[in-house]
Amino acid sequence: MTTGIRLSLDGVLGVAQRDASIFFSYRLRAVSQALLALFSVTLFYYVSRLVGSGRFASADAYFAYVVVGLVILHSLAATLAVVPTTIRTELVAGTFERLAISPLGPALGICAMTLFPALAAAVTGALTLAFAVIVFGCRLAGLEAFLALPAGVLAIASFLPFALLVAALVLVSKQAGNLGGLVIIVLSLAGGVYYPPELMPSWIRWVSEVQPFTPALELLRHLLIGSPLSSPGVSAARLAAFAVLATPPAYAVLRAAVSSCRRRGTLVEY
Amino acid sequence: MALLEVDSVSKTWPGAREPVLDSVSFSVEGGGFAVVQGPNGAGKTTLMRIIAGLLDADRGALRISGVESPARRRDFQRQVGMASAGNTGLYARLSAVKNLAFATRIALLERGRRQAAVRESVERFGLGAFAFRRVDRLSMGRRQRVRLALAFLHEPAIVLLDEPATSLDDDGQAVLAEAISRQTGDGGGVVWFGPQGERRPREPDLTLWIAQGALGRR
Repeated sequence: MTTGIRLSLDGVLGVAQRDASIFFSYRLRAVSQALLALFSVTLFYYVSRLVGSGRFASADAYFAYVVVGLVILHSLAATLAVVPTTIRTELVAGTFERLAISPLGPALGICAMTLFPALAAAVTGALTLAFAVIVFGCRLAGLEAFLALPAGVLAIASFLPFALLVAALVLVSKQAGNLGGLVIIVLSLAGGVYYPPELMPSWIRWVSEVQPFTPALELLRHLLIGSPLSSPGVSAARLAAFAVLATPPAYAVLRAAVSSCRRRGTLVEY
Repeated sequence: MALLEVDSVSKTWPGAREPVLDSVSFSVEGGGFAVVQGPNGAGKTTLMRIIAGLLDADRGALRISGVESPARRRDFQRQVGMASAGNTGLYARLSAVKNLAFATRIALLERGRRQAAVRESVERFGLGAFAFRRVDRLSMGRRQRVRLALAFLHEPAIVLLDEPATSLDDDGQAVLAEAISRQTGDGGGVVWFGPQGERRPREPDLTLWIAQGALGRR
């Protein structure tokens, strides 16, 4: 590894460490995250008691289905909602200026801002799962469940291009959350978080085919709760392909947004 | 070769008829202390932001020790330190030391140098008494010391200071004067941006006056 790459990686980790320090400086934040996970699991446990659809073998089957949806939703929210909000906060606080004039640079700095939220989402997802198993008796698949960890990393990597595109938009438009929030709502409606996408009208079903969210859900459900999936390898390959093919153009768009802001003089405006 | 070369830099804001900077040129030699003065809105901060890399010029060239920006932006940014006007730019929930430690990492300093750089900054800028206190619990003067420490932290060749004496007491002013002396004594350069009549720690080697986008010498 060259010195430049090593130092850049170190800078990226520095950003993640900064985000962690800020997160834990609010003492109740971690507790509230855990409570949020517990309450959402509780809510859907009781909602699942009402389910009598032929689509699910039992109320417990629907509960397990939704729990995995919630786990992935945390990851999506971490990349699409937390990062834009962090950028906005930095712009208003004037701290983005420090990143913008640093050798690490604003584009790589923004990429680095996805690390800690992704890690935090993974922990929240694990807690969600743990509550579902321990408190409500949700049953996990056997040893295959451990494969959910690398699959989860793959899923988060496949969401990264979306995060970079939303970040680029935040830099240019100076607005956070709206677009990210919209994408999260659309994906949770049409992607299969709370119900199978097949229930949606056919004209909207294409949404579940053109993004990595739905294959991530299918793969994790297969690994965690044993939902049938014809070829898990293909789902994993789709996620990997999305991450590998979509990240470079998304990063190029982010860099273009930074350059545009530098030209227009709006890089540190808020 | 001059340490900092600003060569025919021009900038016009989108939609504006007149340029905010019109073919501005100057250079700072190693060990030089330059002052850029001018009335409010004359373009001082715009010029500083262009040199710092926050803003791209429409035309012209910028070089530090021969390294041109934006062609070699990363190498260029390694050589610039900046303290902008105001009291923003610090992570309020982090201590002064954590702000400095973070800055060493995004400045891409080698691991071995980072701790020493933080330790030295704490000493040099008199941060010891409050180094581990959260920044939002510090007075404005103390925050300004942290901001100044950040500008000098990675031993840049050029330090840009925009109204840096704001909120500093006599002791703080002395610390700033010492930092400037040391920077120039080590062969680096300092460019101070501020309004006319501002108190400065020493006589500049070069005084520039900016008005209506053009730069003149005094």
